[in-house]
Amino acid sequence: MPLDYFSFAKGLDNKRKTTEAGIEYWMARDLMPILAYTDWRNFCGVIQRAIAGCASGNYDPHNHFVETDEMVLIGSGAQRERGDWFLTRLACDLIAMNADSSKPEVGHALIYFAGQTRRQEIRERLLTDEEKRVQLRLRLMDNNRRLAGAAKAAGVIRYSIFQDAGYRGLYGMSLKELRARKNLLSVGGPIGQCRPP
Amino acid sequence: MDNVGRLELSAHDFKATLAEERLKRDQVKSEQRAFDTHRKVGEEVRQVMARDDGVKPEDLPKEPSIKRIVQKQRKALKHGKTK
Repeated sequence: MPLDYFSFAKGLDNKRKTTEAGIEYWMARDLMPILAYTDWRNFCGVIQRAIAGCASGNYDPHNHFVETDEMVLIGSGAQRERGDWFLTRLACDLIAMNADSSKPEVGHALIYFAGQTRRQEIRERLLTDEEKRVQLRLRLMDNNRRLAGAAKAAGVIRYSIFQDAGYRGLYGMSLKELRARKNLLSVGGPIGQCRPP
Repeated sequence: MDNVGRLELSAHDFKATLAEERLKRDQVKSEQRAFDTHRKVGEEVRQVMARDDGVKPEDLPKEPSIKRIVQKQRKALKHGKTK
């Protein structure tokens, strides 16, 4: 079997399936020959080690390894159960990590799965952090509006001085000094800015 | 100033809520006392952060603009992509 990385990656791409929800997965029976395993029971041992590794990480193996029994016709025309697994990208990555590293196919698989898994993980983490910041910012605007209302009721007329007092308390300096320190150009207003009602 | 991270946003949020409550609870009815109250609440939040791990809010790094993130999300929605 010729083994340059690109034809190897193409083999994995061809066997990749996608659920209706858009989650990509592979079947263990498809993955086994690609990783140059010939014995199913042997390969099942690798899967079990991967599941153990998954559980010891922060991932729930039930979300990444799903066992299935598929009925297949055998020579005599009778049917027999044949075990298989639905495997997510993370599951495949873990299988490659737990497979026989002396096989060149396993090395390729590590590159194929690990690279893309990490990239996806990083993208997801960035997205959620961004979303959290947007949510926090919206909540802050709401609470600042309420604070402005309470300040007005307490007799505050010069709202900018009131606002600055909060900055001085929190940062030990005025907003102007803080901007200089953080090297922020004077774009936009104070954090979660809003006008007094 | 929308280059503020989660921790700093939370600090401001807490400060705003606490200051609002205190203005009401103490029935502050003078502008100067309101200034003092806001400043004191700010100092208290600062102390909590310092006590936690010595972090000073003025030393927290800048982060990507929130406005730009929102613009990007709107654009993505427009193009029919779900967030």
